[in-house]
Amino acid sequence: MRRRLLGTVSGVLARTRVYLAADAIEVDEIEGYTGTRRRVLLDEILLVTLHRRRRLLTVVIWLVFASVFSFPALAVGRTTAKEAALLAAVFLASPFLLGALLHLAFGVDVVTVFGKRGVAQIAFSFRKRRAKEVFALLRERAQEAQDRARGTSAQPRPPEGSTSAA
Amino acid sequence: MSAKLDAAHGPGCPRCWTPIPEVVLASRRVYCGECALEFTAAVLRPVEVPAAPAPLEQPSGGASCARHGRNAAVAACERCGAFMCGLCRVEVEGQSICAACFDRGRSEGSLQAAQTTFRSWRTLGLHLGIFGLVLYPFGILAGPASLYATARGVGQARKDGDEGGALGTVVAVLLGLLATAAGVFFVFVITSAVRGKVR
Repeated sequence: MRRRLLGTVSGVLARTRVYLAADAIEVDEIEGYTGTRRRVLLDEILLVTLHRRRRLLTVVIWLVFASVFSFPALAVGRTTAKEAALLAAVFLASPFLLGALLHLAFGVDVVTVFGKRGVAQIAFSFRKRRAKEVFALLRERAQEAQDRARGTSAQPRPPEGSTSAA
Repeated sequence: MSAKLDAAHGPGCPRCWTPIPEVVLASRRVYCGECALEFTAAVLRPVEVPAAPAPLEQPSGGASCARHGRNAAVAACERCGAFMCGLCRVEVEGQSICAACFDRGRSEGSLQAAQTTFRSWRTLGLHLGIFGLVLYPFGILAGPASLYATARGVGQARKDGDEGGALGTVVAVLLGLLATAAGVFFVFVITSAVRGKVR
């Protein structure tokens, strides 16, 4: 049974890898070296959504890093070579300021899948087209699985006490 | 995020998890009144499984269930061959097995569909490689351990049927090799120094 990686989400303590398997979306949550696997069955999906997220906390974290990295230069600039120190501070802080600006400008696209018994979420920071593709793919696969289940359930049930393995 | 996801019940807003009626979700572009989020929605209608199971039959001269003697057997376990009733039968990975075999397969890890916890060997391999390279005196131990963990990770990915992930494996193998080489070099230098002193 092959499964295809749809996306990953990395946090401070845990990483999440979301796969599309034959009959389910598999969510591998890895904390340290131990992983937990959850499944959202395709024939149980109720809703698939796509939205763009902008988190204030992310911007704050970028700005905190920017200030931490520029602080030594600013501290030196208080006593000597003000212009050079300011330039150095801006240079040191620029990657983090850029990160904050990029987050504000483009946000993070999130695909959420609501199943009957669980929810799966995949975040895309840079690949916006990929988020749309995954949204369409999941909707299509879930629809196919549910159509298949309808076809199966419409078939006549075997007689009671049948010994054949389903 | 995981706790929120686990606690979520029913379809609703993907940010604040407020339940939203299906009529509203069906409009495709949905606006959540609680958190002011606008999102695209695709509603699906899964098949409703009947809640009440089929009534169990009493044995009438035929085989009875190995565990529930008062129930008629509906199938034989495809692993151990024991007769089982509708209560004991578990359909998994295209097989019809009994509850005892399901428990055994789950604890042994041979039933992949029933597996919920696993060790991330690839991550371990990557971290051991980095550790062995940064603290190179330990590279002679950490390097081979990293290569072993990476090999286990490759086997695990193959077993799970994962597509992709080659780049991570290549990086982990390179780190493992470099850590081993650094460790061997360190041992060589130390040994040469000790020999030089003895002479």
